[in-house]
Amino acid sequence: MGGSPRVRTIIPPNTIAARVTGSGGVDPEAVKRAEAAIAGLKGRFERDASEQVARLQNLQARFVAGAEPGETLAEIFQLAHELRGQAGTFGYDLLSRVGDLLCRYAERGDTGSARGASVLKALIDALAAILARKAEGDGDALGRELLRELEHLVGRLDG
Amino acid sequence: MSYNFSKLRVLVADDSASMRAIVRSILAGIGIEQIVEADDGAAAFQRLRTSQIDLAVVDWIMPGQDGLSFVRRVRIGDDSPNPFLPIIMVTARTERARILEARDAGATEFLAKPVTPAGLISRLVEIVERPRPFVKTKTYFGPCRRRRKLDDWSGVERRSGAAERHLRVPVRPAGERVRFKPGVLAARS
Repeated sequence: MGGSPRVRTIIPPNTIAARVTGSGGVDPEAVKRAEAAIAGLKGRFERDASEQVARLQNLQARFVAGAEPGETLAEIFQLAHELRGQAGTFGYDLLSRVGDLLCRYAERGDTGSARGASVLKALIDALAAILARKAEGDGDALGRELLRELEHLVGRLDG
Repeated sequence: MSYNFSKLRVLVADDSASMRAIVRSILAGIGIEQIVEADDGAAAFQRLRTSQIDLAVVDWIMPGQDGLSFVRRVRIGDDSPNPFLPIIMVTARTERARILEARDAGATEFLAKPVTPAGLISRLVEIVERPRPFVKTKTYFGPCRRRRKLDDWSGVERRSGAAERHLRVPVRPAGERVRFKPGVLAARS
């Protein structure tokens, strides 16, 4: 222990190091196995993501039809949060970015204005299009332009 | 000899079964088969009380008790079974304020989504090779926050491939071992 009387420093036992054997470094074969395992989950991700986007489209229709905004937006946030969190792991960076924008939209708590509803539709349509085209990475120049437009739309709601 | 992680038991807390599968797959790839899962912070804390856990990988946003509440409870809760537990906080949000919040709650490491093998493995190796002292003040108990500059916590790996750049792991010839050296892990290119 050291430091001033107001700051106590403690060196805890490094229990995790005690349970890890070997002299250091990570076996590249093990890293490859981990990468292969992730690659093996990609199909499942694409199926799940398609289902999530379909659910988002239903929620959007409910939202436009006047469903309770708070509850609907909470569900939209949860689905968009899943998409943005996982998409990048499988190479769908653009999908992740648009999912992040949809989270931002849901977090700001739109009350169902016509402008907000059109932004919500644009975001969900974009997610559906990215998945339908299997647009991986940043989606090239078109994808970057799409993202800029969507960022602008969401940003205007805050302005 | 490369590290053998097979004796570790890791707690993975995330409300998304798919995210848990991603983390579990990466850990299994490097030989960690003892994985305990939970779908929110309260369940994770319960698992911690009933199992010998060496490391927790916790998502920030979860319904019910979230990852941040879990970290605080582990660090300062009267009923915490292990206040020194290494905890990797996983989140899609990488704003400076959020990173500071996770740090100030007592998270050991911060992992920005997307979760990748390189990103998660580097945090694990960091915890093994560079254990952080704990500090106790009137307002904080947790891993020493001065060990690294805030920049080293920043979310540099949201985009594909950025984790690898962050690690500065070069393209490896076949058969060469990956070594995560102290100092390289947190270094920014």
